[in-house]
Amino acid sequence: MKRIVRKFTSAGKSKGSLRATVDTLYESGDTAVLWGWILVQGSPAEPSASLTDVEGNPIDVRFVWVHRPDVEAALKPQADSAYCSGFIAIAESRSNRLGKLHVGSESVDISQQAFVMVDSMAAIIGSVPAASRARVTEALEYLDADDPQDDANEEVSEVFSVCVDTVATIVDKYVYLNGWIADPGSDIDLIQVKLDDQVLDITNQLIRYPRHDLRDMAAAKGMTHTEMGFFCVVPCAGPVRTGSFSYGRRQHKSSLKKLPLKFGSLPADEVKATRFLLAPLNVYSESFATRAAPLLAQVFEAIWEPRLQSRPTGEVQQYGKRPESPKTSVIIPIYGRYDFIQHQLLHFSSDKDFANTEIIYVLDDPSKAREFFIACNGAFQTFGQAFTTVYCGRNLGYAGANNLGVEQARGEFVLLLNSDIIPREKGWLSKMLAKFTTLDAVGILGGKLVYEDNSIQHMGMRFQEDSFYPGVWMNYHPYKGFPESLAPAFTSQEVESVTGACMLMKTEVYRQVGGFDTHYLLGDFEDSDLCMKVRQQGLKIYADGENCLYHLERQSQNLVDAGDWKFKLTLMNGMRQKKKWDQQIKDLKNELN
Amino acid sequence: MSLTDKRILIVSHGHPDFNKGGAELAAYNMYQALRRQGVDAWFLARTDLMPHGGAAFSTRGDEREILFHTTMDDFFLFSNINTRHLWADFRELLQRIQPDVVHFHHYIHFGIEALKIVKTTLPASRLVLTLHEYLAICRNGGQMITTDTKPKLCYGASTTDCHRCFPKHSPADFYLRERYLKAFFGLVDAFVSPSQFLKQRYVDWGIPADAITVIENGQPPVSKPAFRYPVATEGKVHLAYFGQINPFKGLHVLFSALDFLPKKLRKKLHIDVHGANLESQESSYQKELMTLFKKNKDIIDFHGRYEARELFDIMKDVDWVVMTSIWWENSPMVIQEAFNYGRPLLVSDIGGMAEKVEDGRTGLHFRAGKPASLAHALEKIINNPTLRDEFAANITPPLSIDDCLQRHLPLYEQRPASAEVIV
Repeated sequence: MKRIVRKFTSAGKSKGSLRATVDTLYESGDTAVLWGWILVQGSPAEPSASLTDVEGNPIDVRFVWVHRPDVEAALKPQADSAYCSGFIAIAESRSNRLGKLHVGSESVDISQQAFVMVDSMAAIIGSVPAASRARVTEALEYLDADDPQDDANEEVSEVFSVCVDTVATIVDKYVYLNGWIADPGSDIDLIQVKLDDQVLDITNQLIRYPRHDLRDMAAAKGMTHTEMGFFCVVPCAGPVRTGSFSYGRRQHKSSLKKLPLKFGSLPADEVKATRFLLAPLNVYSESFATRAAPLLAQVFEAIWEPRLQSRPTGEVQQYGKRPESPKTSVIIPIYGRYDFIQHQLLHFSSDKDFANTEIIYVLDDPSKAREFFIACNGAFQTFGQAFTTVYCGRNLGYAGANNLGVEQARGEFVLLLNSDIIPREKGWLSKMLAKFTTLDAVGILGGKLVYEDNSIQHMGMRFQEDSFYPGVWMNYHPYKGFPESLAPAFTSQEVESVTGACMLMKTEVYRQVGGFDTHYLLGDFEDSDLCMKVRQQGLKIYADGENCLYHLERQSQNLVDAGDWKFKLTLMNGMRQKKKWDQQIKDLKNELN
Repeated sequence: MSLTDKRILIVSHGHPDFNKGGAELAAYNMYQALRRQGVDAWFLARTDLMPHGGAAFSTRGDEREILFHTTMDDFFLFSNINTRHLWADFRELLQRIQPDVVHFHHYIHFGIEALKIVKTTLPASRLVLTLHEYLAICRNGGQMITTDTKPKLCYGASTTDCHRCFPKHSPADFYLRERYLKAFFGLVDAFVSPSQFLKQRYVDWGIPADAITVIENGQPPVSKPAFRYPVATEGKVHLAYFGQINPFKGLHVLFSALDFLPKKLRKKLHIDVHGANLESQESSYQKELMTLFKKNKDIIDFHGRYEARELFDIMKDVDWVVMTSIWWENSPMVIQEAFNYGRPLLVSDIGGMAEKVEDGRTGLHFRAGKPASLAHALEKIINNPTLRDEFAANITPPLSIDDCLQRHLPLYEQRPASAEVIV
């Protein structure tokens, strides 16, 4: 639930005997709905209350008085000898114009009070004790003036309640709704959303998820919280101005409860929006693979499309003399740690293979730009190894950064290399190239990689099912962590796929298949995906068992926590790969084994 | 029979570079001795260090030392089946190494199922398990004492008694636990116990007596320092405590005993504590111990942890070693080290301590956990300064690491007649 707490000063105490507090506020257009309570000495039969704005002018307001057992309990014993009541006030005023609350001859300044702003009326209605809810709902009806069907005389059921916490339009293609439904008797069998003039039945479209924050409420209603939350994605054609959310019993269609929808938007940043949308996703629910994942995949596509479509232009900078006609272009994206370039350039500079090799660093991390270029200059001045940098001013991800780098490549071959890879000995590149030419129908040759303790990091990958990541093919690294001496020895071997950390291939082939697929969000599976694309060209994938480099990958545990958003994203990406290649992967396994 | 025609994998629940427990050292000492003898040996040690990119293994030292980055998912059953670590990674490692002998010095942290993975992956291999504690028998850290605030010694597992110690687990849970663990113990070709006492506990629990061979942990060769202080008439008795400081090790019993010592004798005593990890104990115990210490700080020095390589210099100053554990122990490293350096001991009269130190010959026994009884023993050694040299002369050097290996050879060769565990 979105909560904006206004700055807190002191509780609303007046000089006299009146105490008044606004707990919650909902704003719709020029109308503010206040939920609060008063305590006043004496016992007025029905308090005469009014509101004035910050300048002291009266505000049109209607009060509905509601029994507040919670306040009475909290204010004992004063409440026993005074008049204590809750209220809903429907005020024709913006919330920031509210000044004082008057009861009889006394008043309380509410302009500085702290209260929770909620973004749906349902949240206020949900706070109202059940006994008074019908009266309040009725009083609020007229806020929904655009609905002539509403019949206030129809009996409204008290047993269920709904709150829509988030309503967001997504690039005018989808409306995303997120909220909760408390319906212990499973009475609701019709849920509709109205977007401008279009009414959609979304009863079966909701994806349910656990609302741990509502555990207490659920328990009080005799239900579990595990199915209380919901989210839903509704397609729309173009911008939406008004909308409402209706729910109730199909057989009493005329008495559906209705919540006005106040449209917001998701975080503008794609990563933040993605995290936001992944948060309620329950990857262990039955509907994950069949409904939730495909639905969110569509939404992600819409969110990321503008960014992926805009073709980045890289600013190229040259250090030293660029080889005239290099045999190989080494493409190295830089994200986070840029200090590795110093080590790489030291080793490349003393290896004669690099005299006719083009090194292209792609800076993929705007936050490191200044330090990176300083380090580039220092490394060039010190080691004298020529290299090129490409920078487009934003983060593209591993796939996009490589694609941008290969655009600049002039070599017959490209070697895609991670920045944390350091050669073990000189001459490895020419040996890999020599080996490449001897292999039958070779598409990609992947390097043998070890950690700094000489345990295996990579000698080819395998598509493997993993019960921690249900429903996807994970990229498994055979013999990872084994001492090198215990891993099988081979010169080269056809494998299912190889890591993107060190891939040698013809530049032409890379371009033919369109490079890395950038649609795996934040990087995952693009290397195995590229291998599949290359294989589709009738070419084979090999792992080099001899030419060995150090891969100084950071230490980490496997992601196995389903609450982790990256874990969820890996599953989403994995499902994308499976959808794209499942049959080919199965065929490939049959062919190789 | 020879070791050199075999490939031997030694498995330990920790690497002594990170965990200096007696069992870890025993396992590692064996591995190093095997390598010195030119045996094709490998050492696999479990670790809680962070691996490379989720890898199950990494290497250390000469790359025959492999760290296994795994952990159990059930500490009640010592079980590790949810991740692929045992049934895929460990299995694959075994296939690559192809050892003739897999010798476990523990199963905790790995998961007991590792034993099964060995037998299903390499049916022809010999599976040896050294028992270093009572973990399978006792849920309470394998100590066989009750979980009461003042722990009582326990003489055997029973589902109802164990349930009383751990109300969270029902008697049925304990039944299942015992069945589960015994099923894996049944796969072991030969058990090793460093003490007769521990062997008997496992025999009582249901392992056939002839399946367990008692072999003391081997000690590295060291030179014995002479006593720095001659059998003095004017001097003091230098008593040293070694090892962890925690309630079960009973250092408080020693400090409390000082209250029972006549003033005149107390002056003739000096205590050096070479102990570690007091700071990680519960604050109530720290407080209790520090209060006792403050009363006696004129005769007690705290030195903190010690390394094996420092022992020669430390032992020069030591007349007697004291071991005050209030639990059974197995074959305490402290006793083996004291004997290796030729020092007699004062020990609690229970379990492995009572077995290893002969009362009135190589040391003195006192009643476990009883300060007054320890005070009597202290009186005795202060009043009889010649006892030290007399007892020291009775000490036979502990089993050397090479002899220890030699005694394992028959176990590595053949399966004992009966290793069927009664389940």
